[in-house]
Amino acid sequence: MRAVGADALARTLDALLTRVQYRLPADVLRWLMHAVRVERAPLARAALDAILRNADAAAQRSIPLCQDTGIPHILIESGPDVRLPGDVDAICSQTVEKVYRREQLRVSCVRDPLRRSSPLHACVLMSAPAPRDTVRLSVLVRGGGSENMSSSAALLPSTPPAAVEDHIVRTVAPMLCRTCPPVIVGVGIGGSFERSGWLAKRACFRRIGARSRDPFYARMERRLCERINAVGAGALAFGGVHSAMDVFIEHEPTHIATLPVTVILQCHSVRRGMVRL
Amino acid sequence: MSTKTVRLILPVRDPRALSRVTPGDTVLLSGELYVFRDQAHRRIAAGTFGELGGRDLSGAGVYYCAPTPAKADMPVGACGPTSSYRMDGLTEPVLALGFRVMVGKGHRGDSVRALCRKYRAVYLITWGGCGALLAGHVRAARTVAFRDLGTEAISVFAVEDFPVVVGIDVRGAALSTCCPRRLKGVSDES
Repeated sequence: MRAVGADALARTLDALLTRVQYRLPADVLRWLMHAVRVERAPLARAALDAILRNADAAAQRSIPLCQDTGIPHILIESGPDVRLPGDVDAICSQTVEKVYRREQLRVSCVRDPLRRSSPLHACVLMSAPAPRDTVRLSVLVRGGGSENMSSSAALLPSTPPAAVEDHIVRTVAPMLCRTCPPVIVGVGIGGSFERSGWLAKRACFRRIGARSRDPFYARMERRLCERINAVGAGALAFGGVHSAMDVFIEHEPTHIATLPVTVILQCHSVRRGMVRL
Repeated sequence: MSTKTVRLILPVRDPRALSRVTPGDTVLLSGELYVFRDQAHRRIAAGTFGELGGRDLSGAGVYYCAPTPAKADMPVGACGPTSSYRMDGLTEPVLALGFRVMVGKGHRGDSVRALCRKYRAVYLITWGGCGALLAGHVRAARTVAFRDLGTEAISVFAVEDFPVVVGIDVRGAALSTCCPRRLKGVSDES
C-alpha cells in the first residue's frame, strides 16, 4: 500500500492549477502551429495567429490565457494499492481557493444558480480507477462558454452507429458559432444518463491524437473529426477547415432500452494538465 | 468579399463612420469602450440605470466582457469577449440608450440584425479566448456603475487599436460563417 500525503496532493494540485492558467499544453500548441501554416481562409488564419500570440502574451506576462478562469475540473485516478488522504474534497477546494486568490483569477461562480448571489471559487471533482499503485492527477479548467455547449440526448437503442454519428455532427455544428473553435469534442456514449455526461467530460481530458483503444470507436473518432472540420465554421467561426482539434469518445455498458449520448465541447483555450504522483 | 482595415474612434460622433464598414472588415478601435454583460443588461432592460443615468451615451461602444482582476503593473487582467448571443434578447434597451457599437464573440440571432438596421448600429467580433493578447490594447480601466455586480460591474476601458472584425453592419448584413444555418451539415436549426 502506497500512501499519498495531504501536503503532496495540495502542492501538486497548486502547481498544476497555476501552470494551466498561463500555458497551453504542448500537443495543443503543436496543433495550432500546424493549423496556422495550412489554413487558407484569411480571417481564420488571423484568428489562429491571434490564438498563438495570446499564448505567448499569457506565458510571458503572466496574464491568464482567458478571462474566464472557469470552473476547474479535478480528476483523480488512483489504483487499489494507493491510500489517498481522507479529505480529498476539502484539500481540493482549499487549494483552488488559495490558487485563485493568489493568482487573482476571476471569481467566476455563484453559490446560488437562480438568485445569482454569493460569488465563490468552485471546483468539480471527478474520480476514476487506475491500475495498482498508480495515481494520476489531472485538471481541466472549463469556461462557461464551453460548458454551455453541452448536449445530452436519449437516442433509441435501435439507432445504427452511422445515425449516432449524424446526430453528433448535427449537434456540434451549430454550437461551433457560439463558442471558441477550434474545439475538442468530448462524446460520452452509454452508461446511465448522468454517466454519459461524465464520460463526455472525461473525454475532454485526452491529449490530441490519443485515439480510443477500441478500433471501432477510434475509426468513429477520426470520421467525426473530418466531418466536423468539413462543416465550415473554422477557427473562431471565421471559416476554413479548423473547427475541431480532435474528437474523443468514451463509452460504457448501458441498458437494453437506452442509448444516452452526450456531447461536450472544449474551447481552444485548453487549460489542461496531468501529473503522476 | 473585399475587405479593408479601418480605424474607429469611440464614441462614434459621426454616424457615417459606421456606415462605411461591411462584414469581414477589420476595425481597430480606440477611445472609450464601456464594458458590461449579462447582469448589467438585465438591469438596463428593467429600467435600472444606476450611475449610467445622466451620461451621454450617444455613439458609445459596449464590450461584452468580464475581465480578471488587474495585477500590480497593468490596468486590467485578461479581458477577452464573452459569447454575444446571450445578450440578444436584452440588446434593444442598450441601443435605446445611445450605444451604437457592440463588441463580443460568435453568432447572433436575426433579431440583432434587425436592430442593427433600425438603430444604424454595428456588431463587431474580437478574438475569442485571447484575453491576454487583448489586455495589451487596454490603456486604462475604471468601474463606473453597478459595483455590487463584482466582475460584471460596468466599467470603461481606454482602448488603443483594439482589433475587431465586422460581424453585422448598419444594413443588417452579417458575416456568413457566423450563421449556423449556412453551415454544411446543419439542417433545421433555429
